[in-house]
Amino acid sequence: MENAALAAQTMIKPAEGDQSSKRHRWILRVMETEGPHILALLRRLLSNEADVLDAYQDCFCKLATFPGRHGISSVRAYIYRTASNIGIEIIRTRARRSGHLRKIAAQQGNLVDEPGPSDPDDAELDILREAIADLPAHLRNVIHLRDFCGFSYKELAAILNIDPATARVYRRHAIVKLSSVLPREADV
Amino acid sequence: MNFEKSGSLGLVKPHCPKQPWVMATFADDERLLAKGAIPSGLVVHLRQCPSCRAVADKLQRATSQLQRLATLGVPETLQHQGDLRVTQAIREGGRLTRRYETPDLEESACSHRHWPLSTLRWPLAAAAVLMVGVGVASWFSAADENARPTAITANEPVWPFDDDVFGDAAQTNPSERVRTGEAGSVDAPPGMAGAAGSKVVTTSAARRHRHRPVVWYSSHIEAAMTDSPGTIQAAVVMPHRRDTKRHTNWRDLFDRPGGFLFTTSPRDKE
Repeated sequence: MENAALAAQTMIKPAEGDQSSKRHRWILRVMETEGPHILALLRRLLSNEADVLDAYQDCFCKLATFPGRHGISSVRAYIYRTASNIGIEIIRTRARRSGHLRKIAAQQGNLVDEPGPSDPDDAELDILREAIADLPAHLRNVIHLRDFCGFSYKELAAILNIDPATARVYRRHAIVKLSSVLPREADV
Repeated sequence: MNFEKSGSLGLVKPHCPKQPWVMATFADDERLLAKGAIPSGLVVHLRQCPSCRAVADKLQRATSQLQRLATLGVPETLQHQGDLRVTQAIREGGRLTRRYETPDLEESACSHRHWPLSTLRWPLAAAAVLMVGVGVASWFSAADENARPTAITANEPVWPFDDDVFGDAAQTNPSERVRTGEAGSVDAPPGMAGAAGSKVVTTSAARRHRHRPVVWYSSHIEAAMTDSPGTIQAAVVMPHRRDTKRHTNWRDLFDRPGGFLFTTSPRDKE
């Protein structure tokens, strides 16, 4: 683990005279400050580590390849929304794939085994993740930043460019919506 | 996944009048944190009201599941692996290993992204402002042109005409002694002598509109004459017709370019 940490540190710090590192130094700075939050968001959103790493990489690559850094009004807003979108897209892809597999299984008489979580708790969390992914974007963003990234209402309001009180109301609506979607304990 | 929608906010329509209170209490983490516990009144109500209890249970369940998700930690190795992959990818030119179709929100995070005219925004705005400015200036100049009294020029037979009320074609045009476009004083023509003190001869926009000279009687002019006895006996001004209606202070009108005053000698006055 220590070797990995050392390698990461040396990779993050750009070498002297490395032009590409100098050019992307600001991205590395963003990664240092926002990286842990984004990784936490993706981890809680996706759970699967391979998907988390893919999404994390894509998130920063999108920022790095974005034509014209000055076109972004807020780098923080951009990076969190990108991470959220990539995570949501992966969840939707998973849901599409599982639905497709279910259809095939129904047609071919259960010949295809659908890989799914064996633990009922994980199944519940997957349902919750899908429910969050289906929330309206303004509610979903608040849940992501508040519950998954752990930001205060003031911080997330600054990122989303809304009022803290509005963010609080959005979260309330999101919780009420989620509660109407989630199955009762007796059904699980 | 379909949400149960009812009411203006798309929320569950409350059956009990205290259900909004229940929702507000259990769905708002800040309120629970601030008060430390559920209010005792609400606890009593929940014991008595099954529908509110059901709502509270559902909300608590959603909240607890969210908390379970939020407590999922990030292993340190995952963080380092992620950092390594990102730095490597960026050093290789930021190529994506997988490309997702990200739906919508990044667009709103960055303002003028992908707008092809973004580079032309300021020039376009400047051109628009310039056009508006030119339009306003031309409007003002046209209005000013209309309002400006038309000067009598020497080569234009404007006044007096053959059939003028003071008519004498042999008289020279008094305006010849006044430079075009300026106010000045000249001797009154003999035809004006009888009008001293009571009448003003005004020609309105003669050059442009070919209007006939008009005799105007104006108490304002009379007042102006009274203020300067012996000097101003009559006035010939060449304002636009609208201008004569608009002006209440005739002294100002006289001072403007194009209007000029006649002075008469004591002999004429008598």
